[in-house]
Amino acid sequence: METDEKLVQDAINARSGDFRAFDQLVLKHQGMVRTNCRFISGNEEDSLDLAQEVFVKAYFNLKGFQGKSQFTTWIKRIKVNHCLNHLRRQKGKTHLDIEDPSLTKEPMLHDTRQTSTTAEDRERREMISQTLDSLSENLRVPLIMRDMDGFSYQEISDKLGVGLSATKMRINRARQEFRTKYKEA
Amino acid sequence: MTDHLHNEKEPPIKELNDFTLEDNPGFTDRVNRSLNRHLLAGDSLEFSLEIFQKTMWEYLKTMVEHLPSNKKDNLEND
Repeated sequence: METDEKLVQDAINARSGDFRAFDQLVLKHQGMVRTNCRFISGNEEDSLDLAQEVFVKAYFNLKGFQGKSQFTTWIKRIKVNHCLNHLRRQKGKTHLDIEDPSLTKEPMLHDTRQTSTTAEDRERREMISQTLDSLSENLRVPLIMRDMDGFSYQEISDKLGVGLSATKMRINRARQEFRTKYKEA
Repeated sequence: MTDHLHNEKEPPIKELNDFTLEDNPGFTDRVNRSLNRHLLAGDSLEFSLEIFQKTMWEYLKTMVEHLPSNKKDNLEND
């Protein structure tokens, strides 16, 4: 399998409209990007749009990727900034929160591809999803940034605009709550 | 991106480290369609700007050609 750096170079050198190399990058990283967008935004419907916008941003900024860091790290930063901006915009809006399970489950039902995932894997995913969804946004977002994305406390504190000690406290509390609720699930 | 573990009272959630949702089979096509839309919009904008520039340039050239001083010069030359 080609390395990310090689695929980035191929995507940059490709003619306009030739997305073959970039498609490989999307295939490799869509799971991580979509998962993060899903649980940072806390909304299944928005997550596909957000993930799509993250990749579009990445495509038009590929030349800015100088290979100093890994592609994964680079795209994680684009994703977190994009999702946090989305959350800020959402907070400015008043909207009805319609919690309709049939809507939130829709993408899974349309997933007709044959996968090798076992029922056990699916169950585990479902449990983690439910536990994350049960956490408040204040706890869920820093937890994802720390334990999924691997950002430092300082970076999380800067991006969320919250003090460093408050960030550490939130992550600590989020982990405690996650563990308790995960066991219950 | 890593802090020392002694900063963390509660250890990291292992389950989240490699947690991803199932891949969405139509996602790549969706990204491609969006990229195509952006590229098309960019091309259209570029084309419109080029046409605008050319039109303005021709207009200015015509204006300069028809300035009174030019007419005078032309008469004197005749």
